[in-house]
Amino acid sequence: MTKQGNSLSRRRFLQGTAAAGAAAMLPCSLLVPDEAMAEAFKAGEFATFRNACPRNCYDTCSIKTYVKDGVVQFIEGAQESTFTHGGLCVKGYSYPRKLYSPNRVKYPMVQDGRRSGKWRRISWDEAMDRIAGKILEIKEKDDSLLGLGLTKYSGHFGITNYVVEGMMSSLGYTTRFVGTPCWPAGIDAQNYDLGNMWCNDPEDMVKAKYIIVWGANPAWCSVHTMKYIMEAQRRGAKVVVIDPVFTQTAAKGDVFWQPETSSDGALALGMARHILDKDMVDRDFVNSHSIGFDDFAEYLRNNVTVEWAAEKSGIPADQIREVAEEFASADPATVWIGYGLQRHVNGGATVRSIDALVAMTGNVGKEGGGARYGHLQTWGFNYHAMIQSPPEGAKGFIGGAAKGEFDFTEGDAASYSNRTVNINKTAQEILDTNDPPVRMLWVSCKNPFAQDFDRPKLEKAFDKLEMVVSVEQFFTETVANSDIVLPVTTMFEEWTVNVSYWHYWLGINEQAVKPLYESKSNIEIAALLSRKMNELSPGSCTFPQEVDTREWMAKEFNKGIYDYFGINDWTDLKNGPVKAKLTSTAAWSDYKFGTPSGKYEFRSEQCAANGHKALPEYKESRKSYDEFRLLTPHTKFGIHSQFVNLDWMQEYYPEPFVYMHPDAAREKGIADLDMVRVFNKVGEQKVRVKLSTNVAKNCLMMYEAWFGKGTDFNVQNLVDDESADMGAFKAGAPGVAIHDQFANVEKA
Amino acid sequence: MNNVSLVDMNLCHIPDHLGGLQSLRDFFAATNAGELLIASEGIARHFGVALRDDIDWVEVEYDFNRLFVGPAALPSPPYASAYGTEPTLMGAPALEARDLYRRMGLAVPDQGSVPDDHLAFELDAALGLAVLEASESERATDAATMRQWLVDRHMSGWVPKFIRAVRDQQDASAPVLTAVAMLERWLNESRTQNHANQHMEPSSGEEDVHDETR
Repeated sequence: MTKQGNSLSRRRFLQGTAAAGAAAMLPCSLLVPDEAMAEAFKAGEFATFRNACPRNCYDTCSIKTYVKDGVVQFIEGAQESTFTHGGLCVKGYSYPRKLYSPNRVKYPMVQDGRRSGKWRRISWDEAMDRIAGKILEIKEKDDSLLGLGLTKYSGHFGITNYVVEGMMSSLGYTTRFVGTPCWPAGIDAQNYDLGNMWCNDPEDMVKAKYIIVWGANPAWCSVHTMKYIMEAQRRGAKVVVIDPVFTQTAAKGDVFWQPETSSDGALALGMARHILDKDMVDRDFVNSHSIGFDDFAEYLRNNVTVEWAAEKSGIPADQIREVAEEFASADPATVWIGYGLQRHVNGGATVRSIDALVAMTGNVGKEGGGARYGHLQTWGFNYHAMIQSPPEGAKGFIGGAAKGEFDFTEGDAASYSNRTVNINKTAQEILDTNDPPVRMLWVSCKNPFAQDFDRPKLEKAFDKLEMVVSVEQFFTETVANSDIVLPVTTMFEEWTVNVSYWHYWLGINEQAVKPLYESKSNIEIAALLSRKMNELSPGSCTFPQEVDTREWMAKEFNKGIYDYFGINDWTDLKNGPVKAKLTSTAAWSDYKFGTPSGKYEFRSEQCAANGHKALPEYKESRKSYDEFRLLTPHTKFGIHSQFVNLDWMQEYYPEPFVYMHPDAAREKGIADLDMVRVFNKVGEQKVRVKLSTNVAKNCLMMYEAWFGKGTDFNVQNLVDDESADMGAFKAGAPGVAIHDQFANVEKA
Repeated sequence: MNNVSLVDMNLCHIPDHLGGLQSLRDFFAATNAGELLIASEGIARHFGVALRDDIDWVEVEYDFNRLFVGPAALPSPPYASAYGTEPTLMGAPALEARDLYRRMGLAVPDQGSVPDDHLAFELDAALGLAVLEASESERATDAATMRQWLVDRHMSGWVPKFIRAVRDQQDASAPVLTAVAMLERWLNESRTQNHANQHMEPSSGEEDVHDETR
């Protein structure tokens, strides 16, 4: 493309004004002498860098970044990864828009009054002075740092970002918000049944003869997995999609079931009963590799019928029978268990019943089969950044701490520990925690106001905090509710390493460009804080005061990782991502399960001991408390509140909507694109309505997050913090019943 | 200051008629209320406009940050690259500005971290070139060519859009609106002057060319 140039380079006669010493004579006070001394400006060559998408996403794409003149010009998916296969999703391609957005947080700033919008620039030194001063004040007042809280989750999954937890540990024993709103009920369920959460390589889905995508929408949320599903379908596999919403994935399936939300357990058990009746159980697997099947069979015979499942789910009995028989006779057959279906008060029980369906048909441990949920097999790093010691004499909580699912550290024998509180009840925990109260909150890799539940309560809770520090890239509602914001780097401006909880690839993330403005990586922020802490109170922080982020990334690797991925050194990854050397693409291919019995446990005493049923029995869904069910799933154009504020996204998604069935709208006198008020016991949200038959008549749907100029849209005004049934066993706290929410709607 | 022979040229002295430009530069480079106050006094003095004495300069600082710094989304980012068809930073205008500074023997501090086309840097370059252009230096002609490019070809492309974006914010504070009005006046006067100079010196180096593929 040739376009009208606007450069000086072709101007006749122009020699420039640069000469030795002359620049220093100019009255310019902002510009500085150019070290390169005015060589004619040459359009540089492209340099390429390896990056990895660090978002909380199945795909964790390997990225190749093209840089010219110190500026990222464009990115593409790494060709070396068969999973990423040279392509990114709509969000991934927009990364340069994020890096160079005019709206990034650029400097440390302080707000004179929360939500006042009155911000002043401060230097990093002054920011650290205020923060360290507050930490020391807390220590003085409480004789511990339990008044310092950390809420951090999955906003940036680079392994070195566990430095945020490490920074807290290096200060002493603090209060940690532990757990996850994402997937904990299902993790517990798979741990009870199989002894771990461990899924097949998603690339082996091409081998499946029958695929049920249950409560997942990979066409939006794992675009790279779709190619394996489509290929399996091309080779003759039937694809069944089960979802309360007619999704883009559903549109590509052969069969779409739109069951009553949260009735999935009944559906799975109805199918199991039919398979039992038809004598299609894989007796070899059940007899050799499982325990408790007879008890499960008895439960099914006594408590479950296909008609009951049909009544609960709204799916006709003959269809349930047909799909059950097809699933049982296909070899291999697989279920992708999405995270959406376990965000319910019966979510863990539901996952257990689906696991049982997959196991009784002998599809566990099989290539192309499996009850696919997620895995952490590739996460065996050193967690060097995360593991830091408290200063000598630090006092903390007595009584043991809960651990999150990504916490791979061995517990130490110290008598003190951090104080752990439930991340899914952030607001309530801040309000309830006393002796000492949480006085100061450090927020990193997380946007609580977009993602934590019961926003009206969260605002009250934040008002109890004496100081809130947000480490951010953009002005979120959480930043608006903070006192200090610190600008943090994007993946292009830092070193780290990334793996997936779905596929089996490993990629490094190289620093491709200088950090913009005054942004710093979390490692550098920790070092700065340590320097200030030790300056004000020697010995008050153990974190190193000088860090090299490339070295810190290198320190995360070990022989286990090298062997598992078949590399000699992390520098091999500069040539591109590598995949784990798997003996089988199937999880549990040797049938040695991680359960107490070493077998698949249809009957789990561990599950019973933790307060649930020993068998994968049906658990009732949450009782409705309003006219419509409210679903708040992910949009295609963001991961939670990330990406949705970027210009490219707002081009396609300029405004949030509530989606409503036309028949329900007619009864309410609501027309397409009307402004409506959605309201319930938690709060209310005004939003424009879009009429769509993609949602059931008794259902309202709003995509989870949206922020940017001129909107107050926040679905957490309508979502409460009701717990899911499971999660405490392996993720530190129960999950949250995000999709067990109810609301009403009226014309605004 | 190691090259003594150039000191005679006395380029560091800013003639009075460029004091307004200097104050505009300082205004848009300000980082706190105190700097905004000093720059605003300079703007008032050099452009002959009134400055009220009952202004709360901390409030002006909040307003300045809301419009030009952050942390919230900026209604009027002070970067040339933000005014292309797709608002982004570090775009072609930033590299053009970098090229100009390089020809002056200058660069933005920590090049690559700071977008080169921030308004304050461009005003700083305009100031330096204006001083050099008025000097006896053998480089005065080139300085004139470069300043004309900067004003006519580069800043004229985006500064009016920037000014409009600020004025669209109806509640902008008085010192900000004054600075923006004086920026507009400076830009218009510079363009008029350039236009007049070009008529007198038709061979000043101006040539329309098409760049290679970018």
